[in-house]
Amino acid sequence: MGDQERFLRLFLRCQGEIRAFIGAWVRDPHQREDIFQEVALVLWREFDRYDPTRSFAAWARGIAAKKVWQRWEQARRVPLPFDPETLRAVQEAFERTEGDAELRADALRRCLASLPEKSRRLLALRYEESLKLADIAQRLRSSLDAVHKALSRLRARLQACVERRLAALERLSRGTP
Amino acid sequence: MRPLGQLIDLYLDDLASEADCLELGRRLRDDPAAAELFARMTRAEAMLGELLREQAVPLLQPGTDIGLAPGRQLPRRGGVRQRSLLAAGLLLLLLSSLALWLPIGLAGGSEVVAGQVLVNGAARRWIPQGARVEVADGDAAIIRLPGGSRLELAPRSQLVWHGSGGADRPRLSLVRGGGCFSVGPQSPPLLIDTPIGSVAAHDSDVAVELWSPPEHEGGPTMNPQTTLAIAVAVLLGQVEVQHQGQRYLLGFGQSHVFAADDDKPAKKSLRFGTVAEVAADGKSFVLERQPAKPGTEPTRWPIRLTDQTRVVYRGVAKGAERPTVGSRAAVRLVDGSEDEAAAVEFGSPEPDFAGRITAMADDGKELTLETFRKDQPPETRTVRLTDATRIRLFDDPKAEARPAVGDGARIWLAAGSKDAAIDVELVRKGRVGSKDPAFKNKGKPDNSGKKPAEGDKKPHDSPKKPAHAPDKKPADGAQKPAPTPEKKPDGDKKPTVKEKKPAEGVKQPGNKKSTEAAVKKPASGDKKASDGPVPKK
Repeated sequence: MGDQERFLRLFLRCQGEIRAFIGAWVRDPHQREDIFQEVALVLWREFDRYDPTRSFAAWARGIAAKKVWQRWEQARRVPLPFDPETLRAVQEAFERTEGDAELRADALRRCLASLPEKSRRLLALRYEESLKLADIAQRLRSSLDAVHKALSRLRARLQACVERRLAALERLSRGTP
Repeated sequence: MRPLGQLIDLYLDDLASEADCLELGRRLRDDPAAAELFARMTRAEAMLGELLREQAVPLLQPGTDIGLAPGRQLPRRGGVRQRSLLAAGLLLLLLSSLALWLPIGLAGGSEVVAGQVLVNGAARRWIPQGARVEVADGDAAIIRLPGGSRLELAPRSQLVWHGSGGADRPRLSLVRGGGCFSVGPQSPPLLIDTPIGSVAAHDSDVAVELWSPPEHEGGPTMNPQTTLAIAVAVLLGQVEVQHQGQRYLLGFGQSHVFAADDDKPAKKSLRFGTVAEVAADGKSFVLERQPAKPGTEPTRWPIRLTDQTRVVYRGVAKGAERPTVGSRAAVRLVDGSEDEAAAVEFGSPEPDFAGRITAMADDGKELTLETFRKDQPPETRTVRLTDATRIRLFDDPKAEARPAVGDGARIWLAAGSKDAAIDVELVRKGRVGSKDPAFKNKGKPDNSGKKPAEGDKKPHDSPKKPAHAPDKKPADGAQKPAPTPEKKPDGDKKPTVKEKKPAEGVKQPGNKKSTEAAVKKPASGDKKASDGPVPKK
């Protein structure tokens, strides 16, 4: 398998993880995408330095963390939203939680499908159309606070649903009812 | 102290104050469990957009009551919760066990989400690997592929679904018709084979259409002899096209026609060039193509327009829709005829810029677009609509159209103006049921204006960013992935791909060399992407 194919396989497999990690720090979808592109470029350019005994996603997240930090510094935001230690702590948390990410994604897919259509529509405004809360509130003729509360409840509900599903799968895999 | 979940919620909704961020940062740093919760929540958040797109959620209309009005609570289910707990638990177990089996049973298969699809002649909802698929006449069909990609196929389109190949790359062969192929960032790259080239898409939306002579549309084969060309239009992202041994990158807003070989009979009915003369009655003109070699005579073809000829104008102001000397034209001749046009497209195929409409003035005279330029933040451009502005849908140029927020728009400006549009072409998803009439068969019913497939409400209109080169190299035999990840749609540069650093061996249809490859020996002096092949979108 050539370098290119190897890179593609690794990159395609973990690009969701890279996006998620960047998205954790950069809330603007356009800036997020910019950084993702920059990270992708660095990953490809530096691919010959990649140590295959290490996790590709971890390597990518390290590069992404640097890019995020650079972006904050370039933007001259004072104070910087988070410090390097926080980035590192979350980077490590991503690594620790990477193992069940696929299972969680599948569970999330099913949990999302089980939500009432109106709830999914609200989520679509936020996460598919990338609308800000104020825009959603305006579109729905509601208040910002109401939208925030509804989104918070939906996230909590999805999270609880995912945990339940994972627990059920765990029981199944152990053969316990 | 706020609960951690509340802090993260505020942060995720962009409502966290500086103090909140400080507090959140401290807890993430000091508490590994907090950092893990944050990682899981942000990971889930990143997935939601893609999952929602997969599940095709209709967008909310203004004022829709979803239980958010101040003072209202989301429905509480405490009453039934206790009673249904046991049943829910059992159902969950059942679903979970099904979940273990479903991916195996449906591996490589696809689901028909809307419209009617015949699989090996019988109406089916599930499309197994290797099946020959035909969309029923009348409405477009929407098919969801494993991995989340979506196809919106025009009526009567035919394809063979090969499923996910050895490299986990879904692949299909388009045999007739066409459609819009949406491949999300989380989905594996999709390879679309056609008789005269293949299109590889990832994190992009692309319209692909086969042009066949009329007599072959009824009985298609995967035969290059019976296919004139493939038209590829990139609605979002970037795609790679393999054609005649060359690779081309097409970026956001670009469209290109890849014609059959010159020595193929089908190709002989296509003509590209500049209008050199126009008859007084406007019913005929002379098309001229400059020679490839200096010092030789240009090729001139007399072209007749009849009542059956489908004519499309692009980049032409309202009221100026007529053949004019000097304008570019692409002509498809009636089969067997040397001068009678079946379809003609006049004007400038590539717009001055393109983008997504983010706002409309109340009086409808002005629209705001978000355009994209590589290495720069998105740019907002305001476009004035005047009485001379033509506004049309990309797939139905004759229909009256009104721009709406969320539409993709390709803008042609008036000469010398920086903001006054003469032509606005709207790209509205979910309209593949209707077709660009420019190169449709004469005498066939016009599908334009048909009911959109599952409406324009599909959330695919979200301003998604384009593709990234490293995950965009699915073509077999690719020598190296394009090292420059494509940034954002270069809406306001004409040959957008010129900004990209192409991968070795990758040609860009925007330059002359690639144009020559796509359509042999174009008019000399043609330098822009738009100058070469048929300006079809």
